[in-house]
Amino acid sequence: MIKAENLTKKFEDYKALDGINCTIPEGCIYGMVGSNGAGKSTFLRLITGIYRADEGRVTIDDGDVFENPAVKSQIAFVPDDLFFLNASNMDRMADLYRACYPSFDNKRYEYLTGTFQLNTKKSLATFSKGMKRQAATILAISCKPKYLFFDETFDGLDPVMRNLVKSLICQDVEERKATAILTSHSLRELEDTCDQLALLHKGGLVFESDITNLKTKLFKVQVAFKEDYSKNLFEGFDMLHFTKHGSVANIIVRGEKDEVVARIRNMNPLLLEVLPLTLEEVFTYEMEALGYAFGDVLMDN
Amino acid sequence: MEKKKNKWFNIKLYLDGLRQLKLIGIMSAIIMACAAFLIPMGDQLQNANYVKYVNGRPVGSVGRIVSYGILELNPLIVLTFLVIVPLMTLYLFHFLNKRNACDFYHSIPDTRESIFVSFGLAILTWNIGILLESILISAISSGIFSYVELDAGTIPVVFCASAAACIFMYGVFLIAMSLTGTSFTNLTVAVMILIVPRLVATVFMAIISDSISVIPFQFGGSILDDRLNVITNLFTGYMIRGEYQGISMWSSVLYTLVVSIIYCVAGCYFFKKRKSEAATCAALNSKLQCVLRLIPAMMICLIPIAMIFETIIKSYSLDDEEIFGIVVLYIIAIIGYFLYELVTTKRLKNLIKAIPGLLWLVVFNAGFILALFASYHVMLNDVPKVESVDSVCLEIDGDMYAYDSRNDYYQEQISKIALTSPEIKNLVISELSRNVEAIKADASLWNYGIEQNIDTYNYGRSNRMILSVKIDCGITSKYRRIYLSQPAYSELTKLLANNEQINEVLYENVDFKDISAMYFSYADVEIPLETMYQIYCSYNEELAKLSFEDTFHIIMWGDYPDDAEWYDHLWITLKNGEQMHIVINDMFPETLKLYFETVNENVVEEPLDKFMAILDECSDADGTSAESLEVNGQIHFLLKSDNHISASAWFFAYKDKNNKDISLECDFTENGQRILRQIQEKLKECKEPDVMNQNKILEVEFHGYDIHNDFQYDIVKYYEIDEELLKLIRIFGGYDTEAEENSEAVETDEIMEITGYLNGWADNHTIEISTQEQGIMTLQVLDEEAAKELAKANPGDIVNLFVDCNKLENGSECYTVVYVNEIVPMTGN
Repeated sequence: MIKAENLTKKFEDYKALDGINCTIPEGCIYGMVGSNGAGKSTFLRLITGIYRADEGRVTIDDGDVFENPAVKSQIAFVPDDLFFLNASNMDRMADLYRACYPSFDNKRYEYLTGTFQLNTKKSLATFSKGMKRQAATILAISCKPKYLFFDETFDGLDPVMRNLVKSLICQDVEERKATAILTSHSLRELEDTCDQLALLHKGGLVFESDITNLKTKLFKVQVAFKEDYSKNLFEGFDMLHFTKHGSVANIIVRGEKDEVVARIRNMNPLLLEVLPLTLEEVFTYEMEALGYAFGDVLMDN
Repeated sequence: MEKKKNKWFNIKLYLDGLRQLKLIGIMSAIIMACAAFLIPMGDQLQNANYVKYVNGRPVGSVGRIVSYGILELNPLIVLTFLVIVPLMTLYLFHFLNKRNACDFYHSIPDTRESIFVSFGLAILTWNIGILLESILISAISSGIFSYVELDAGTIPVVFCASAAACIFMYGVFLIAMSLTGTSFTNLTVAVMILIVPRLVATVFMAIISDSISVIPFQFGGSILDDRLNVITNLFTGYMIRGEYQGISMWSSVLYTLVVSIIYCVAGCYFFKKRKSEAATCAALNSKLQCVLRLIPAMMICLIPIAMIFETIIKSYSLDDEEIFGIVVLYIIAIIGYFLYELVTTKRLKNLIKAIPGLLWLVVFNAGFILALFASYHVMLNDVPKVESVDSVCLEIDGDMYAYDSRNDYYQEQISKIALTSPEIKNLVISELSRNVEAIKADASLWNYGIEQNIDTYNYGRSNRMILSVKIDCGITSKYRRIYLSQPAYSELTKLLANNEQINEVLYENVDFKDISAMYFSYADVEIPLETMYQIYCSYNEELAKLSFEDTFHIIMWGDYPDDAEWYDHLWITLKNGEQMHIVINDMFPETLKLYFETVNENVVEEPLDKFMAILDECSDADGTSAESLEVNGQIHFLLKSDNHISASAWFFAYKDKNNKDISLECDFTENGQRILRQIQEKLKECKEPDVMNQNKILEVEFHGYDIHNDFQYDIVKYYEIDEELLKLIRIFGGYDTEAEENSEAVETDEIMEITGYLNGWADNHTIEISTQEQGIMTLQVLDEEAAKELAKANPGDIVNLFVDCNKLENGSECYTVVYVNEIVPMTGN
């Protein structure tokens, strides 16, 4: 389990993370989204033990991460800006990983390089951006870590490779009960991989929730009545958003769908329709409820 | 179950470090191997070609083996710690300058200490390997031929010093790389760490030493001794002493090792503290950047600080030029301050932010000057009490202005003797107190000026009375430079005469087996080393017959009486690198006799015969020589002592091998050549020189350089001259031009050389001159040429004339000018 308590990190005058509190359970695929400069990479570097927190604490399995080889040996980190030794190929990097990570698995490495069809003897400098990310992913996964952290996980990967990487991560999580943290600035990329999602904005954790909950507990209801009505009609509902055009209203409601629908039906509406929300819409409305203008977050579609 | 990782070392990471350095390591090993083989081979070839010559002089028996220390054999060993270690460190730890690389290494499951130690050991492994390889190959290379001998005793100390220096450099570069985040700042900060502490200490003590005459600048044996730091001594050693001693001293090994451990501990600390986000930054934070900016500026400020301090202490007043100089230097310091900021951060805006930091420059300048003042007063008043002195060691400097004073063997030996006699301690302390009081009375007295204020006795050269002492007081030692008065000096020599250890050093012969090389400065003959050693022993035996004071002067300062006639110098180099030399002169007749016998016995060819042979070869157009000839030759006759006659002749001869192109330039006439032949015949009849009659010893030297064959001739031989030969040489030397024209051995009246002021013409044929020795002289001018020359002179001019002295019937003497040698006009004429 990864636990962050009041995690704060400053770079001179700039506060990159401000009092982050979160708990990431074992066997979870945790997605983290946010705009550029939100603090995603900083968060990952803190929990990888690259940075030391200025305030607060981050622990993995109740052990501090920073300068703790025992904890770090269970972590593999694939950063956004990849590192390879000068004039090296994959095999050479594998040797370095082998030297650093006691649990590096040669067989897994060979299997993965075969699966991805990468030439391990060829210089990494000749690889494309996507191929380099594949290589880094293979090396990280070959370490068979308990915790996998990916920063800008799918950056540069083609759709086929994206699916392959997703399946690998899921396979590791499923088989070895690994925990993965994936960051991205795109919700769509994380939507079908992650169990939990968090939204970071300007160094703070704005929103964190289980994906299933997010998708099922929040929905849009389109309703129309004969008589004129206003927002007050729906006072008893956990309503996040209300818009009305003419006699048709769109309401974003949180709660059990069946129960909400039954209650509205009792009101004898002329029109009653339940529409699913995309993850982006869920985030938009949740954040509105929290008082954030989603337009400020500038998330990519 | 996974094995718990060691906090300090990861062998796999170490092996990976070795592997990462493979390219640099292998290339360095190849380059060093080539150097290790080729340099000794070059020395071998050089010695084989010039085996008979060192600096153009023979060095004993044929096939002389020159003993080299390992560093002399392969000076490029220093590249391991000067170049290879820094290069490897910069390469292996370059990740500190790149965010992605830094993140990687900080994410791996190894502690920072483990990375520091594992990679550090990888660097050291490569360099120790290269060192061993260099030493081994040099040793093999030196053994291939027999012209170079490796003094294997130097290997352990040089190896250990180099290894300590490698660790030192690793620590320095790690500190620099941990504190900064770009390659440029890595390098500049590393250089600052290397140089600044030693530079500041040296400048500080130089200023103090300049202000207090009794404080020596060089602190042999103290912690400020520049030789202790193996790395910086490579530069300061050559600048101050002209040699690199630091790498051959065990004390340096220890000092360098201790400092290197401190630097490594500091490096490890800073490396551990180093944040990943500091990569690509000029410094870790703005405060550190401020400090780094101040350092180069402060180094420049040391110069005006020295000037200002001296002005205040010595109560000088600065002239306009000096004030201007100080202002300019401070401006340069400020420019340097901003330039560092600009070059390292590349942001103009930072220059504005850097302005407040200048206040610190002012503070440091003031602080440094205050520290100088404080040290000045403390050190000036630091005169130990006699009771607290355990012993005194004397460092007797040779006269730096006399080329023949390089007797560092004696200086070294004497400086090791701890003198404990109460009289010597008393004398040293009382003289020191006297010096200090003189400085307190007038601080403007400088090193030699102090002599004028204190009644010092100048025997021979000016620094004869200056004594450097090491005063041991318990665990501390003080180094002072004392100016002795004449009575104190005499007292000291009496006291030293009674010291058994000093006597042993001065009078005991060095063992033959400890000698590496011996050679004469002038005698160009092959003399066996054993014979040279005999000459050395004979010299020592005769030296022992002199008084202690005279022996002391001669050995320590090469101070012979002015009337001693010297003939040659015997240089002796010991296997430990120390040198001594003796002067072959007429003070030691037995030695001189042995020298003459040895030289004359071993001369291969008569010098004048060689001279004439080359002359003849070139003069003879039908000569059968198949070789080309291009020789610059000079013959020189020298009669020392009372007569002091000197005559020489020079030629340049060229002849091609087909005898078609012949040329001869010389500075003597046909008559001169005839005289030379007569001299040549006469020399064959000469006897061996009698050392008891210096007036009759003739030295004949032939110096020639065969340009075509690149061969140097330096042949000298000694003869006992008779009257006829003396006349011939006087004629040849231009002492009797009239006789030269006759080219016969003529009866000549005594020809004198006179120098004096021309008073004027008494009549058309008579001049009057004033001379120092003979007062006013009246001279006849009968020779037309001489008259023409003298007509050009004005009263008051200095004239140098050859004058014939005729005895008249009435017994008086008549002087006739036969030749005008030189006229020196008086200023204003």
